[in-house]
Amino acid sequence: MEFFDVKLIWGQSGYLAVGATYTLGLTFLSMFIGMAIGIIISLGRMAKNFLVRALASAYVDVMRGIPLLVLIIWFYFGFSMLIDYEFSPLFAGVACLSLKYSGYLAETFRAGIQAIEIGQSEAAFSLGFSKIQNLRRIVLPQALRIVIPPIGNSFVSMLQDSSMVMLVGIWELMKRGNSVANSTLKPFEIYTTVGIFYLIMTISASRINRYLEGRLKLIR
Amino acid sequence: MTLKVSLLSMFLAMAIGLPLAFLRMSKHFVPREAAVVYIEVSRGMPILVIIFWVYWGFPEIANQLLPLLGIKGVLVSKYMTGFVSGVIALTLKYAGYLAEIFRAGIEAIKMGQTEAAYSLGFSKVQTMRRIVLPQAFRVIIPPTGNAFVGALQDSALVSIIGVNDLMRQAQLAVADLYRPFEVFTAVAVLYLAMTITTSKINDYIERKKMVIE
Amino acid sequence: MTEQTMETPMIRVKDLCKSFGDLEVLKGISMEVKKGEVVCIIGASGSGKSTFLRCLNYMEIPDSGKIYIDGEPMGLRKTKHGKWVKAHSKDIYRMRAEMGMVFQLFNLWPHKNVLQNVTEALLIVRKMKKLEAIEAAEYFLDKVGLIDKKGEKPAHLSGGQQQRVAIARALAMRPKIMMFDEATSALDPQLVGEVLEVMEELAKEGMTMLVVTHEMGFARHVSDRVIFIDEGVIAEENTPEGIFTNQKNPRTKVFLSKVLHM
Repeated sequence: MEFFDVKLIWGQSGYLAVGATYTLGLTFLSMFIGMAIGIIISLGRMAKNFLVRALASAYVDVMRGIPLLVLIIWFYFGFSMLIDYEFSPLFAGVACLSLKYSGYLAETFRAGIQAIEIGQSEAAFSLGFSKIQNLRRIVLPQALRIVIPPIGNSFVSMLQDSSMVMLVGIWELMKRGNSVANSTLKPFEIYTTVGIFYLIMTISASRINRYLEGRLKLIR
Repeated sequence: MTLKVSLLSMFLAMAIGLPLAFLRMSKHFVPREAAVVYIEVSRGMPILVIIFWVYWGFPEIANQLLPLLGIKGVLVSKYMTGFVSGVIALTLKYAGYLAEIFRAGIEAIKMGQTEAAYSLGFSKVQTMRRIVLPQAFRVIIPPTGNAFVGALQDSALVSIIGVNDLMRQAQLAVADLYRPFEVFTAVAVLYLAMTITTSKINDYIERKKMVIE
Repeated sequence: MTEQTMETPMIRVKDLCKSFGDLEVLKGISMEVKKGEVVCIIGASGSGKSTFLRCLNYMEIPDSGKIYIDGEPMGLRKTKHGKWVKAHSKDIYRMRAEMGMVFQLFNLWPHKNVLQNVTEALLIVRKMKKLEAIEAAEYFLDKVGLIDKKGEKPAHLSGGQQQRVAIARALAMRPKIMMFDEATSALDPQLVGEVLEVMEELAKEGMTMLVVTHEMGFARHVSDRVIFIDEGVIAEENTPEGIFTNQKNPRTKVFLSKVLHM
């Protein structure tokens, strides 16, 4: 028995690398959808209507407070049972990741929008801008700079959390690692390799994020 | 069980995180860079991978290592229960987070304050204990609270390897009752109760602290 | 080596040098301060005067040169074979406790109230009993006129009051020397007076003082001697009268004409 089976790792790394690309794709897609939901919720959080505001803030609290695993199981096994409809694994995985992160992202967007001083919007309104025009032309371009670093952080966490969608049976990195580990009976080597794949992705993502953050500061 | 895993891991992670933070601030290259590598790796690694790595990987590697060291007949997997590996994995992960939190807290204390202490004849240890840490503590509380909320949530994953925690009990309950929706909703609500309570306590402490200052 | 006579100077410095990277800040400074003497150090910002003060109690470690405090070498010790090596930390800590230092930015500890700021070092470094420490602290807070503020947090005090607390904190250790590092430079003009008054009072009581300052009035009327540091060397050492009216070095004249006509 070899102590640390490098040959095995080498043999399986192609298979795992494909899983890593699925992980990346899954994360990009869920991030995109999560941001779309997050923007809507953040606008709800700042609405004048009390009920809308309360609902949006309850949504944020729930999504941020519930463990992703619980959400996945509730959605894929519990909820689908209730409505008697079987979701595809990909749909379930992406839905859960986007829902969970839309809570964090909503708060990020709210902080970004609220950081723009009221006076600027007032100036825009005084010039005859509509609310939408003000949001699109004045607020969002500035808010974007504030929100990009925390969005980058969310992306890094989501890369890691996407490992949990193995439970619904998407053949991404973690699921592939799990199955190889079970079939080869070399869990130490395989999970170390899986970990290194994740590290390459998360560390590059945070480097890019840090670089963007530095660039955005220069512009200000 | 969920609470026990997270509490125990948080406690151990703090015990490791503080010395790790000091290593990270060391003047010497080797300990500093070693700490940087540890922190980057632990923060970039999905908790699920760490849990699996510890639970299945540790016994494997130990079974190969121990005979080399002349120890035979010890079945490591017997001790590597879900609970133990859950605690080890969460500790490994959160020690990195906490080290960075502690470092930020310590670095937030202005140079001048430690200088004043040195000028009065305080030793390094006395300065750390009496001047820096008591203040750093306040800076550290809110992010530590957040880390605890994170650990509470991550502890759910331990159930995948079979710890008898909330999720696991829910799965068993589902098997018994076959009412997954109700059971998992109840689980979700329980988790929410724990995480939201923790956040609220955290907010309260933070507000209290502001008043003191 | 540590025998002390009336003639032993309180501070004796020989050929002190200090660089930060490529920047030579102190280029061989030698000087003495006698017991009970008040010496002011003046000079432009960046001339090295603060660094000099910070070297004396080893807050900065000099590159070369010797410092003797009341006859005892600071930061260095002699081995059996007569070689100089770095002193034990505990000796540096002990000697620092004998040297009070007041900073430009006060550096009070915000998490402790005024009384605790003063008692802290008495309890931790001097290992005094709590009641004894409080009594000593109250005596010195009274001396700087702030006994009624003893329960306040530093953040609630004015800059001048904070600096007086910092002075009380240093005095309570009953140091042999008091060093002031631009103690009034960060204060609003109307608060400078109250701090200078306390310093003047101390000088009258016979405290040995080394004062880095931009307050030319204080240098002229309170000090026994004035040292002008320029580009890391002592450019002139003179009586206050001499420095202000009859400079030996033309550079002193240039410096003074700049600061006095600002």
